[in-house]
Amino acid sequence: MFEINEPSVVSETIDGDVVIINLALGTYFSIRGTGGHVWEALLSGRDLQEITRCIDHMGLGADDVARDIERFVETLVAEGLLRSSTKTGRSNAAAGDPLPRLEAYEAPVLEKFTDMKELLLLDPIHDVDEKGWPHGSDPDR
Amino acid sequence: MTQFTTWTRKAGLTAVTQTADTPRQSKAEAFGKAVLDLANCVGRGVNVETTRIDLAGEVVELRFASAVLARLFRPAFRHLTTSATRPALTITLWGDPDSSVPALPWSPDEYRACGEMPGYSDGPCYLHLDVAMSALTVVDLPSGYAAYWNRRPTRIPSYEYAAPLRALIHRWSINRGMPLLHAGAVARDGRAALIIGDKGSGKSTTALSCVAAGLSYLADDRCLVAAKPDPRVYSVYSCAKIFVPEIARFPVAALQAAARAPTNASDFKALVYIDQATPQQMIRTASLCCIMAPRPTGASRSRLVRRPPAEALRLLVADMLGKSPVTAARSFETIRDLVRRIPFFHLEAGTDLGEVAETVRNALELR
Repeated sequence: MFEINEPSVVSETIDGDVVIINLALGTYFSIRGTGGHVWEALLSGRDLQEITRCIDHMGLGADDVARDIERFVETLVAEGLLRSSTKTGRSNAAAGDPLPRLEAYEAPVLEKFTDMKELLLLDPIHDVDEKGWPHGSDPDR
Repeated sequence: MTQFTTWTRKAGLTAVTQTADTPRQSKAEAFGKAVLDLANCVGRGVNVETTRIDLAGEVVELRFASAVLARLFRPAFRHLTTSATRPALTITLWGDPDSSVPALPWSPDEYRACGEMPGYSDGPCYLHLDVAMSALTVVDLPSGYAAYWNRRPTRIPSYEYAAPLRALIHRWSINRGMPLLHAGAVARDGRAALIIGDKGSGKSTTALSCVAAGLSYLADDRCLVAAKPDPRVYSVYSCAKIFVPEIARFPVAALQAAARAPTNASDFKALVYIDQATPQQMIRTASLCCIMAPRPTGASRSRLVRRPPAEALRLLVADMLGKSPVTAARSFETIRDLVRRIPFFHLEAGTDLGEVAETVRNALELR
């Protein structure tokens, strides 16, 4: 089972759209459709087999769905958004509740937005004065 | 570490015990205390100009120990001036050549573009260094004292003094659940629209179009926003910025007359102090009823298109990244509550600015 990689990662799901932020790295992510469904199921303590089984009920090939979801979860873990959970059992909200059915299936996708990362990680400043102030290009500093 | 102990002796400030394994947060507190000790001395000088403002319901005292900073920064806060006493936050502002500050405690490779340094900007004593502006900010959250020091106050560009102390105000207010958002806001009858979007997306044009059409003004680029108990927006700066060639598009003599040319060639926007141009339209706060993102279309007509709240969340999130994880996490809490509670629209903005304003006005009447 998996859990969100707190405290550096926060997320919000609204109407099936998920927005996830890695606060430590300054990147944010978006998941829609099937991916949002899988994300919510993972956070509620479901394991991959159960999620795959539910989606497979839509008449899709079980192997294809399992492969899609495994890849998706691998990506989430590789991006540091999810980690393996040491907890056992489902969340109170999920316990006993059936997994919501999907209206339509498409391979889950994690959209990554890295534009801010370049702003966040300024080039290292190696030239500072005796008080630690960085030297700019201004000759009159 | 050697550098750090050296400056404490040089400045004759409170003795600070340092050890080689002092974590960054402790070092931040020690440095912050030294700067605030200095601010306390500087702020008691005979030439200090003091202003008190109402910042989202809290009294904040600004002690200007620099005539230059007073001249540059005070106008942006003029509309918030209050006679109330007992400030919750006292900020001392000064700069070279009046007085210097101790040497910086972090190493050169710890700078970040956002001005916050990992470990130095996460604790109760918040440090921020704006490299481009040569400005140091210290906020001691428990005591309610803060310091702003600028190394080159005479060279602060107009876009900076149009919206001063952003890092300081954001850090202070986020503790009260109110991030300083990159957004404009206009209102009618106490109901406001939050105008969001990237730089250059049309926030200022939309806000000034609404002013020209008689709506109330809170912000064109930065404002404080609360989600609880009810969504609300607070004005922070009275100054709007507009591209110089755009000024002629607003057919209001007061706006055109009040526009001040940029102070340097690299700054393309003129400043308009709304509290002077149209004082009756400058307001401090309003209830938030919708969020909108301008989308210039090139057509003449304007219209509103309802969009999913997650899209508003993505737009607002992009601006808060790069901040300390602590402040970013708190901003996120407010933003997600906000987008869940009020509707989000694309403002498909046409070329007729009067109609843009009319479309915003219509959105404010939706119940």
